[in-house]
This record gives sequence, C-alpha cells and structure tokens, in this order.
Amino acid sequence: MDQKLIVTDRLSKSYGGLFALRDLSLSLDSGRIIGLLGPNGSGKTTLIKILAGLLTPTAGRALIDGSEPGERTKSLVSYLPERPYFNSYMTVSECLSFFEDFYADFDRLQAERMLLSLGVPVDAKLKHLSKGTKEKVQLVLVMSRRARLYLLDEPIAGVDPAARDYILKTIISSRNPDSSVLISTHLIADVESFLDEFLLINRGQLMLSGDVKRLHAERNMSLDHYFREVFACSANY
Amino acid sequence: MLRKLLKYDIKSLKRMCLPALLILAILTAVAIPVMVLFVKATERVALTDGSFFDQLTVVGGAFFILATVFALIAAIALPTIGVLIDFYRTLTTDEAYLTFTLPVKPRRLLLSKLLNSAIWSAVMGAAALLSAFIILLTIGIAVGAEGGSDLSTEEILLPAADILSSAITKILAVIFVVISFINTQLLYFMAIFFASVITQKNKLLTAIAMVIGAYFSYSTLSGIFSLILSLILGLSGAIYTHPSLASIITLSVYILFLSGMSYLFFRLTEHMMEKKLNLA
Repeated sequence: MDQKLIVTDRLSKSYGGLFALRDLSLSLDSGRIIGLLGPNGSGKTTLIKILAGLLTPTAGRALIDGSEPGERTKSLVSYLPERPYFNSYMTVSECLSFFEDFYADFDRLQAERMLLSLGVPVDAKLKHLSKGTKEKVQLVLVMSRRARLYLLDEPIAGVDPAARDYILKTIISSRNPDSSVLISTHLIADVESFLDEFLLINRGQLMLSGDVKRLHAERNMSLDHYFREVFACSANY
Repeated sequence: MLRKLLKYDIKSLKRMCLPALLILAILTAVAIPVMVLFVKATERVALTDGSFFDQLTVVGGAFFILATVFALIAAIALPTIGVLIDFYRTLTTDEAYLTFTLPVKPRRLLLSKLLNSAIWSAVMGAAALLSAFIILLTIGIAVGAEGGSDLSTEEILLPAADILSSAITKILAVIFVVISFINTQLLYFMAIFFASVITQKNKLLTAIAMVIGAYFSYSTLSGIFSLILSLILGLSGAIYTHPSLASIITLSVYILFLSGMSYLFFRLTEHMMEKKLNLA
C-alpha cells in the first residue's frame, strides 16, 4: 500500500483556551499541488508550521512520510514562511552557501539561474533589497531544493503581479513530479489553474476538500467563486 | 552538521568581536606612552616637584587606567553577551524559522552556541590578558626606570600569594572555571528559551527578565550550597587540619554540582526545543 505523504490524525493546537486547529484529520498523496485556503485566522499557517516542525501540537499527531516532524522530515520538507527569516547582514551568495551546506538536495546552479532571471544580484546584502525582492530570494532558495514536500505560506502575497506568474511557473516547473506542494494563499484566482486539490479550513477545522477539476465539472464554477460562496455564507467571514 | 553550525555561529559573532579586538589593540598602543607619562608625572608630583601639567597628567592617567580596566572587562564579557544576543535572535525571533527547519537535532544547535561562546571567550580573554600584560609591563618598566620601587618586574607582575599550592588544585581550579563558564551560559540559554516558550509578546523584555531572574535565583541556590559545604568542612575541622585537602574537596564538590546543574540546564533546554517549540 502506498504511504500517504502527509497524514494528520485529530490534530489540535490551542493557545490558552483558543483553538487554532481542532481535530483536523486529513491525508495527502505525493505528486500533488494542494491549495490550503481559508479566511484569516482559520488555522492555515498553524497547520503549515506544525508540518514544518515549528509548532508542537496540543493533541493528535502529524506524520510526514510516516515520521513525526523532526530531523528526518526537515530534510524532506522545504518550507517558505510568510516573513523574511535570514539575517539581513547576509548577502544573497551567503544565503545560497548556507542552503548548500545544510541541504543535500539543494541545487545551487538552478538557484543562481533563477536569481539571474529575476535580476537579483548575488553579491547584494539582504538589508539593501526591497521586501518583495527578499521574498523572491527566499522563494528561489526554497524551490531550488529537491524536496519531497514544499510548504509555502503565502508565497505570492508580497510580490508584484508581474512577478507572480513567474513565481508560480517556477514553483510548478522546478518541483519533482513525485513531490507535493502545499500552498497557503488568499489569492485563489492566481493559483487556481495550478492546483490539483484544495483544502478549505475555517476555525481550525477542515470544512471541505477535493479535486479542483472535479469541482469545476460538478459545480461549473471556479474555486475562487466557490470559496467566496462558502465563506460569504459563513458568519465568520 | 555541528561543524557547519559552528562555522556560521563563529561568523556571526566575528562581526562584533573583531572590531572589539581592534579597539583593544589601539587602546593598548595608546596606553604605552600614556602610562610612561603617568608614571613620570606621578613621581614628580609625589616629590612635590610637579607642575600643574603633571597634576593634570596624573588625574588624566588615573581616568585612563579606569577606562582601560572597564574596556578589558567589557572585552572579556563581550562574547558572552554576543552569544546571548545571537541565541535570542536565531532561536526565538524570525530567524528561528530558518534555524528550526534545518535538519539538525536541537542539541547540536545548543552545542554549537556553547562552543562558539567558548572559542570567542578564549580569544577575547587572551587578548585582554595580553593587553593587561603589556600595560602592566610598561608600568613596571617605567617605575623601575624612575627608581621608585624596590619591587622586581616579576614581583609586580605575578600575584603576591600563591594559594594554589598543589598541581591537583591548579588542575581542579581550571576545570572549575571552565565548568562555571559552561554552567552560566547554559543557565542563560535556558532562561531565554523558556521566555520564548511562555510568551510571544514582549519577547525581548521577558527574555531579559528571565536572565536576570535566573541569575539571582541560581546565585542564591549556589550560595546556600556553598554555605552548607563550608559548614560541613568547618565542622569536620578539615579546613584547619588539612587545608590543601579541603581545597581539593571543595573544588571537586563544586565541579560535581556545576556539572550536574549544567547537564540539567542542557537537557531542559533541549526538551523545550523539541517538545515546547512555540514559533507563532
């Protein structure tokens, strides 16, 4: 039997009495591009952080390729947070060297090619780059890994529309066919054409999930339109 | 992986410590002529033969010595403070997103920070000692040249009393200093990380408060332990009848205590990193 790449079993995370995730159970296959969608505060980032090993669940568990988040899964997972995470005194080249040192699956040549096509100078210090350019650098680093799972938290929110297409095409083209990409985003219309599956989360619980093409066929509407319908009816949106 | 972590940690602290080394070198170079002038002026003032300029030189020289002492202490303390700042930044702020997604065990992150602190502390400590040696040597030579002292250079430079009478005591004293250093670092690491676990708001203030609280709490605990140990040794009479043996026992017990506490701090911090990580 093929092992699922991501499995969560009644996963919960609470802060005091407030639940960010509540009894979330799901399983995801390899080789899929999955959109993690939901309104603000729905638990998307919390789920991604638990899978990345940055948060410990309050209850339940999460497995990546059969293992709980830890040293082994971190070598399989390439994570892009929604904020810059490099020391601003580092140069782009030093960031490349850093990834090359710690990740055996990092393809430096690909990263340099992508940075060149984006017009990012490798000898520039991060503190001299704009916010959008820093985010592009981080995205390039993350997508230049031959990971089994890419966790992208709002990868296109801070970039200009012209760069969005390039970034999305890069995400799709640079990943392995066997790897999965979990993208958390509000900009559904921009990513919809690339998604295989979707997960709709609200108030820390999985509301709906499914295949994007099947949704188009059955409901004759786009995912973006469907999302607006679902959450327009929800008192929380 | 530890070697790679250490490479980046050393690089990170280099930005702070290399300029400090340069300042120390400049300070030492400036101190040589200043100390010579200071000694000469002091001699003249002492013999009531000094001019107003000599008196100014003496006062200025005294302030310079004070500033130099503070600079030397700061140089020795800088790596410790630098590592704590680096620990806070790379393990509890946005940079922690990068650190904790590396495929390394938390204990290697801790060990790397500890080794980094030890390396730079040794470098800065050696630089400060060399600087102090040069300045004291300058004073000693200047005093000798003026004929104002009956002390030899050796007597000026070396401590007057050698309380470390045996080789074993000397070795234990060195081990004690090293273990104390490790113990203090781990205590502060634990305090900073605990602050990040319990709150995501006002992280820096909470971390500072935790470090101060940990320092005073642990000092009190260590003080109680020292008192108990002294009482035991005092009551047994060992301090009076066998002072060398008492020193050895005291140092050995302290080393065991500090080693145990260091292990506890390390394991607690590691546990928090593995099970209580809270990067919201």
